[in-house]
Amino acid sequence: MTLFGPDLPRPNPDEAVVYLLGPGVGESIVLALPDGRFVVIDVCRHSQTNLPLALLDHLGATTLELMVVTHPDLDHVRGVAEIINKKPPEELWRYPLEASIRDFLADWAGRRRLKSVEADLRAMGAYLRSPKGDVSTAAYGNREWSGDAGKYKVRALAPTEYDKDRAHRVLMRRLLKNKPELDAWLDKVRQGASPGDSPNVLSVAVLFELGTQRVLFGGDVLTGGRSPKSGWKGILRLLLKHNLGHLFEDLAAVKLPHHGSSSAFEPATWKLHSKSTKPIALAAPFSPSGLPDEATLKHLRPLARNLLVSSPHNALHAFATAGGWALANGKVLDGTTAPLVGLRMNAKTSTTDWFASKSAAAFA
Amino acid sequence: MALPSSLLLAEPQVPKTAASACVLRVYGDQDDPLRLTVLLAEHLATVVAGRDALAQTCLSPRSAWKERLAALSELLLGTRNGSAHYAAIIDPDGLARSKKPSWEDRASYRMSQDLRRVVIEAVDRGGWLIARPNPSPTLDDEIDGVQIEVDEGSIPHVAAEPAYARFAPDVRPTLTWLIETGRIAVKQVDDILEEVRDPNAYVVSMAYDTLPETARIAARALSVVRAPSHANGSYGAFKWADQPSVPTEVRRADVLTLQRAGFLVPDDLRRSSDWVMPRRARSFIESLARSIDAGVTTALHRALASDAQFDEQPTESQIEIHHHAARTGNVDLTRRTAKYFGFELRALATERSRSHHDYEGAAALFRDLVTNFDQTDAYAWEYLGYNLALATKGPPSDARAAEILAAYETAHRLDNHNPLYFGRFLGFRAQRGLDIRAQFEGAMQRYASHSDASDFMSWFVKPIFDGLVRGGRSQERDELLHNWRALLEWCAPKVLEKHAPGPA
Repeated sequence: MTLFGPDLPRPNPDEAVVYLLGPGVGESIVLALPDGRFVVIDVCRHSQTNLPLALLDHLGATTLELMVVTHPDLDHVRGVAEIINKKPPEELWRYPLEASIRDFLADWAGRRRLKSVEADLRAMGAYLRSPKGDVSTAAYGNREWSGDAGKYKVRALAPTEYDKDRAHRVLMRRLLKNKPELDAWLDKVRQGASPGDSPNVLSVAVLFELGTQRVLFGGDVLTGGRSPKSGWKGILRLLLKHNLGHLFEDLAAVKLPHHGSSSAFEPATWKLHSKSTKPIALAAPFSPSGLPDEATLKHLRPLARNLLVSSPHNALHAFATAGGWALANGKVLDGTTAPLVGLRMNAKTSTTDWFASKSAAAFA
Repeated sequence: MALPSSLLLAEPQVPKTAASACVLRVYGDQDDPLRLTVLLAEHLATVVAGRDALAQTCLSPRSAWKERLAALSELLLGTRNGSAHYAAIIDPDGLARSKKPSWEDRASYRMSQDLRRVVIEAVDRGGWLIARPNPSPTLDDEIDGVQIEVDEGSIPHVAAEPAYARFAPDVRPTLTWLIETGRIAVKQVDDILEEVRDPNAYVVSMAYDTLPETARIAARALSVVRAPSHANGSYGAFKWADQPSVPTEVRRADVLTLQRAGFLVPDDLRRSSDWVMPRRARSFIESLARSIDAGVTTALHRALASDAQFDEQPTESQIEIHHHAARTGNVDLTRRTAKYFGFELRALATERSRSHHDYEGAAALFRDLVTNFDQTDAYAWEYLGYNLALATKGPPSDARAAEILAAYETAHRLDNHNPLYFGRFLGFRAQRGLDIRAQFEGAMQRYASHSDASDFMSWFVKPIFDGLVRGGRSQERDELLHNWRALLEWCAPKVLEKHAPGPA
């Protein structure tokens, strides 16, 4: 079966193309830039196919310039090692504490004879031993990457120092427990128990700027705890403190954080995102939990002009209809079966159009 | 009149006046008070004439802590005159841990308090150098008003960013490295100070996380070494190698990275080529090492615990060998190398009991501790009794019962404010059919007005009620429950739930 048809949009000197891949469990974003460079944010698989890798091959990408691994949840990292091995990125941004977590989990997986997990983790470690591998932890305000004479820029906007500290303290409590207690906890996590919100607290968020247009890729950043320093509230607080509030204003599009869950929907940020123009909302669903959820779709209706979901789950249409959304026709790609939605961003006209594959859902 | 004491504001460099000073470095470990007392007393014996007996008290493994401390105080009084600094202590804040100590840590916590007091009194009299790379509020308060001069030359250079000065001196090299290598942006420094609960610990942790993988492995390996070590072609017992093939080899490049990142700092007060891992970083990284590389860490301790030619080693090295021996879990080796104190054996005894359920083995170790080491060690007496009781299936013989009772009674006598020790003592008496009523009532009245009434009551009552039941005296237990029910409902609800379930 052909995953990507011939009419899949490709970048040109005036345009960047954003592809959001998400088969229902898993999420990956591929950015094809006007100067022919590529960025991958997270990795996911569809059956046995590594979706971003297949897309890069389809687009004829021989190199990968930047890769971002937002946080250590399997639906964002499964297949990372494959990309690293086949298209080693020139630069890799990883979530904070990645090394500490990897050292620990690799050791644990090795002791438990979970060789494939251990191999994945060690493969990433092997790449990170390269000269650039040790300088790429991404967090609020510490990474910027630009090209094409400054025509576009990618910057990290999360996690904040506050959230890194929260995750660090949780991790240390776990790491420093005695071995049997720790092993019992890890076994529970392996069997499906929630590890708590630590992975999401560490999630990197990325802002892409092309000329005057901006797209926010929200990773799995949540609204945060009660503290105004946590989650989206904390990011907004720092942006305002650093006179960068405009970065959140009038966005061209937003990749919904945490697959469009209510726990990631922050009204204060959306108020800015849609200050005078409504952005397009994109979601890679997490079908087992019914994300994006009904409440988020309802909140989004007055704030976003379109809602694009890369692979709808059973309840999505009912949720969307209840929220006031209606299916949108047109701009559906022929011949592309991959679960994807995307954006064409024109730098000259400062306009953004959407497209979707046949297996995706688009609402207006 | 002694030379006034000097305060150095960072990791120190050698002042001329300290050429022959005894240099003590606090590691933040449980054996610090005993280790430092031994080393200081040994040095004082060489500078204070005619006090060998006092020094011997400090060095003898059988000496009780209070005896050692009194001997050390007296030795220190003999240093009133002198034109040079006779002692230096680096990082005394490691003796002032702010966290509430765990049950096992309480003795070390108290000994640290005692030693701090004695040292600060001596500092006030002059002749000391103090370096505080990792200052704590507790010690700030305690040295407030002490006669001490700040050595202006030691004020560390603070780079262009004034915010750096708000970090502890031991963290500044790491922060500088993070910024200079582009790992964090300068503007993040303010955010860290504003948003993070413990900015110093946070910077260390984040820097560790951004080290290359091989440097992290090297850091974890080197964290088992506490003492400053010569770094030139090797780091202490660790050989430099291009491709490390055994745990005691590290890559030279990794050592250099750790030096640049502030995870190894010069220890110039001792020897100019010595380097050491600062206490804050070592404490963090060593905890990770124990968690991540438990097998490797134990192998390293084993390699560093060789007791060949032990008697020819200097005292400081002997103490380190003993420390490494204890970390291997090898009881025989730890016992053989316990030349100055047996404190590290406690952890091995506790491990035997808690993790291996070898109660007889644990009791034997605790018996050894109270027989051949500090006979005033209340913890060792208590857990001698406790492990003997656990090891005894069915009713104990008279001889065994007498040993248990004597152990519990001694622990209570030595630490009579401890409600658990008192509770276990009375509980065992109750089990043996002895009268406990008056002592129980008296203690309950005292504990009721204590600020920690809830904890005290729970620890005290449970072993007594358990003992009464085991001794077939449930009726007496019920009477005590009835008399004290209102207070127990408030202070010890879990005990009540076990012994008197249901409504009153």
